This record gives sequence, C-alpha cells and structure tokens, in this order.
Amino acid sequence: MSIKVQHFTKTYGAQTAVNDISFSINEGEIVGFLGPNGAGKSTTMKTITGYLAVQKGIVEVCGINVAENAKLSKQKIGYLPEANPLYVDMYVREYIQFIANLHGLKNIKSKTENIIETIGIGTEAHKKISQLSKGYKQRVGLAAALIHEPEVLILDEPTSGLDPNQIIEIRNVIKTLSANKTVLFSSHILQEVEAICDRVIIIHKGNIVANDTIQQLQKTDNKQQIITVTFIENVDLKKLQSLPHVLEITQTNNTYTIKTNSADALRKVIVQFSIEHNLNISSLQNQQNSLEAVFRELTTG
Amino acid sequence: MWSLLQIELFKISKRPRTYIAFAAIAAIVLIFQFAFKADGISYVNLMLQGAGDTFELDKSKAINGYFMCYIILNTLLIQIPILVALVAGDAISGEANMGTLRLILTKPVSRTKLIGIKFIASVMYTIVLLIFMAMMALFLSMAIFGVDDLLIFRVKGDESQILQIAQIDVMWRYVAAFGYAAVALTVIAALALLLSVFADNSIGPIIATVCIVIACTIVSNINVPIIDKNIKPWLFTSYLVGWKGFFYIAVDADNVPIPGSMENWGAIRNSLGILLAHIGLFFGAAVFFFRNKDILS
Repeated sequence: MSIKVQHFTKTYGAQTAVNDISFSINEGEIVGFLGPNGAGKSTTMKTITGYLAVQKGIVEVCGINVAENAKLSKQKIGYLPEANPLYVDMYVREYIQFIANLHGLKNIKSKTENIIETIGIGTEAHKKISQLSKGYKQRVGLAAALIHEPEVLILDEPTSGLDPNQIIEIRNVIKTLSANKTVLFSSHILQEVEAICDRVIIIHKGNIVANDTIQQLQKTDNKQQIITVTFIENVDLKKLQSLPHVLEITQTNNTYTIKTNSADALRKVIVQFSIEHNLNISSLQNQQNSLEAVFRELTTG
Repeated sequence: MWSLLQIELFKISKRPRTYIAFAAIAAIVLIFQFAFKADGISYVNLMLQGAGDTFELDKSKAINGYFMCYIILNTLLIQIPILVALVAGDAISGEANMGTLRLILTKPVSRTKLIGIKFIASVMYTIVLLIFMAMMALFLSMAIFGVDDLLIFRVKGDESQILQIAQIDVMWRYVAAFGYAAVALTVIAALALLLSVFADNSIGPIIATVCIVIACTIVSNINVPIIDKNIKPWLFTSYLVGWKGFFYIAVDADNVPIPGSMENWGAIRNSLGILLAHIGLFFGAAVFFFRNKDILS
C-alpha cells in the first residue's frame, strides 16, 4: 500500500474540514482526487505531504507513519503544490539543484541534468524562472517534485491556469513520468482525470462520497440513463414521448436523446416502434454518464 | 544546512528592501559628515556651553573621525531596529505569502532547522549592516576628519560631563560597541522573526515590530519611580543604547581618565545578559510556534 489514510479527521477551530475519511492507494495506481472547492481535498493532500499535522487518525506513506516520521515520509513523496510556488529569482538549474540539496542527494549535478533532459526543459535551463512561460514553470515544478525519484507523486491541480496546448504537454509529461509511481492527482478538469486516472475518489463536505473506477462510477451512480437514437426519417416527437420507459426527450434534427429509467427495455421498445412504423434506425446507443454528471450528482446539495 | 543558508542569504540579497537600509545609512552618515565639515564648531560650542569655562581644548581637533562616529552612532543605533525589522519580519511571512514556505516544508527539512537558518541569515544581515555602518561612520569619518582624542559630552544626573579618551584607547571601544550593537539588534531580529511566524504577509510583522520597539522605547524613557523599578529593567529597549558604556571611561581620584578602563563594566555585562535572554526568549517562542503551526498559505 503506497498511501493509507484511516479515520482521518481535521478541524480548523469549530469547522470540520475533513471528517473521518479512510482510503488507500496501491502501488502503481493513478488516482484522481476530486471535490468542489473547500471539500477537504487540499487539506488531505497537505496532511499526506506532511506540513499539516495529523490531528486524528492515521496517515501512512509507503508504510511510514507521517505523524511519527515526517522527514522519512517526505523523502518518499514528490509534490507539486497548487499554484506551483517557485523562487522566481533563481535560475532553473540552480533551483533544481537547491531542491536536490534539500533532499540531501548525492551526484546532484548529474541528477539535475538527467531530470532537466527527462522533463524537456534543456533549452530553458539557463534562464531565470521568472522568464519562463507558465507551462515551463510547471515543468520546473515537476522536475523539483521528481528529482529525488519519489515512489509517490502528489499533484495538486497541475494543469490549472495553462492553455490547451500546455495542458496536453503537461498531461503527457505526467503520463510518461508517472510510470511505476503511485500518483494522487487532483484536478477540476474532469476529462483530464478520465484520461489519466485508474480510479477516482470524490470528497464532499469533508466526507468521501465515491471511491471507485471511473467506469464503475459511470455505470452505477446515475439513477437516470440516456439513450440516443437517430432515424433516417423525421419522427413525430409525440409518438416517441408516448412510448413506455421514456422520461424525457430532446430532438436535434433526426436524433433523439431520451432519458429513461431502463435503457435495456427502452432499446427493445424503440426497435419494435421502428418496425411498426417502417422507420430506419441509423444509430442506437447507450450514452454513458459523463464523470461530470456523476460528480455533479454526488457533490451538489 | 549550508545550502539552505546560502539560499536564504541569496533571497535576502534579491529583495530591494534589503538595500533600503544601506541607502538610508549612507545618506544619513554623509549628511552628518557634510554638516560637521561645514559647521561642526557650532555644535561643539553648543555642547561646551555647560562646561566650557572649566575645560580647555582645541575645538578644531575635537571634531575628528572618532567623534563623528560617536555622534552618528548616537542617532543611527536608535533608528536601525526599523531597518532590521524590514528583513527579519519578512523571513517567514514573506515565504508564506509567496507560497514557497509550503514548498520547503514538504521537503525533508525540519522546521526547527528552517527557522534557525532564517534567524542566522537575519543575524548575518544585521552584522553586515553594522559593518557597513562602521565603514561609513568610522573609517570614512577617520579619512575625512582625521584622528585625535575622543571627546564625549555626557549628561549624568543633573551635571554635564566631558570625557576625554586618548586616541590610542578608542578603537577597541568601537569594536566592543559595534559588538554590543550586534547583540542589541539581534533582539530586534528575533522579535521580528517571532511575529513573522504568525503572519502571511510581510507588512504586519514589520509594522508590529516597529510599534513594539517604539512603545517600549517610550516606556523606557518615562522617569517615574514605579516604572523605573518594575518595568524598565525587563524591557529590552532599556538596554539598546548600552553600547555607550564602553565610552564612559573611569577616572582616578584626581579625575584623570584611566586608559583601557570603563566606569561600569558590571552594568554592561548585565545589559548584555538581559539582551541575550530576550534573544533566547523570542527565538525560542518563534521555534515553538513555528513547529506547531499549520501552514495554510
């Protein structure tokens, strides 16, 4: 187990930020950590990285209790904080060497050159950090998080504020570099989480409301299912509305998006309907609930 | 450790506010030197009004490099705490503001070590500031005004005194005075660092330090017996100007100054002890609170 959180609670004064949560992440897993702002995900991540005290519960990284041996657990973690704070007056190479020094590494020069090459910032390494684009600054942050070859990588909104090209670049860098590492990844871009993560933990008001694979969440967590059917001919909307299992229907040209309480039953009904009315179906498919829909359902109200 | 300290000093060197102190000291010293070069005799005449009839001296020789340094220190060492607070007050809060405190604390560096290094860096800055002040106020003044015996005008109780220290007996006193000033200013650095632990921006601890120094200085100057007895001995501001003690030369039965002596070494030693206790108290509190603080910035 790379990360283990058991009955963790954190309060700020009278306010409970995280309320008795438990989860674990296996070695090599990439897990998305989602939740609305203020849900408690940053507090949880900060506690795992060791700079917020564990008030109640147990937090372990690679089997090391964070509260008991923070220094050792920090050696196992590479952390890219939200907003990626950097010493902008330093040069890129100088900064990475400084971070390597903090970790007490040996062969700092060669390790720095390696990570610079791996992250793809060789052309910028001689520049001051303040002169870099946001995408390159993010790469520098990643280089600093990875210089000591950590087993666990914690990324707090790593693509926040980047343009679409930079997002794709950073996403690819993360994908490449996270091989053989355990990654806890927080983001508000749900498509990104879908693209990168094996599993998703959703936290809301300090409680974990979902902890499953994305496919499983999409299957189970929406009460309503959606079917999209396209006919070659135009069909009377009222006739479709009168079919059994149809809850709600919207039309775009000859395509009908139907909300239902039973997708399997409705599919049979639609096929029967097309035969009876001599209609040609060009496509008929179940529309999977997006992660966004799942997220909204679990975190609103 | 050395790497962290290097970076800390590097960060201090990169901040424009660091150089405000050097510019302010240079400007004040140069103004003093210009004014005394142009019309220093008037100042000496004014000082001699009380004792002029009984004390014979060559007024032109009275204004020399040693004398200038003493006058400048009298003024500057009261203002310098503000300049020290500019840097020490920013040590933790400035990093909290930039978010880099979080970055550092997620690395395997202990909080005690981190705040210790910040304190050492602040002390080093204070010492560099004092060395710069010595260069400007002492050595530059010696180059401009030359060297002679040092005359000190002192008010002791109800009487005015003029103390004369032979030029050969002066330099060690300045070394000691600057050393004392370094300890006194380290108290300010420790206080500013302590306040910096509680803030997420630099302005608060800097202003708070200055306010505390001003308030305590005012109390230190209130001459009411109950305050004299119960409060003043515990205020660090009562000892900030203790460096003057090194220049209060002891005299023999014939009122002749004794070379290499001080009137009251015990008082200076006591003052140093109290200042060091304040440093320990402020720094100890800073470490305690920083170790137990949730970093939310």
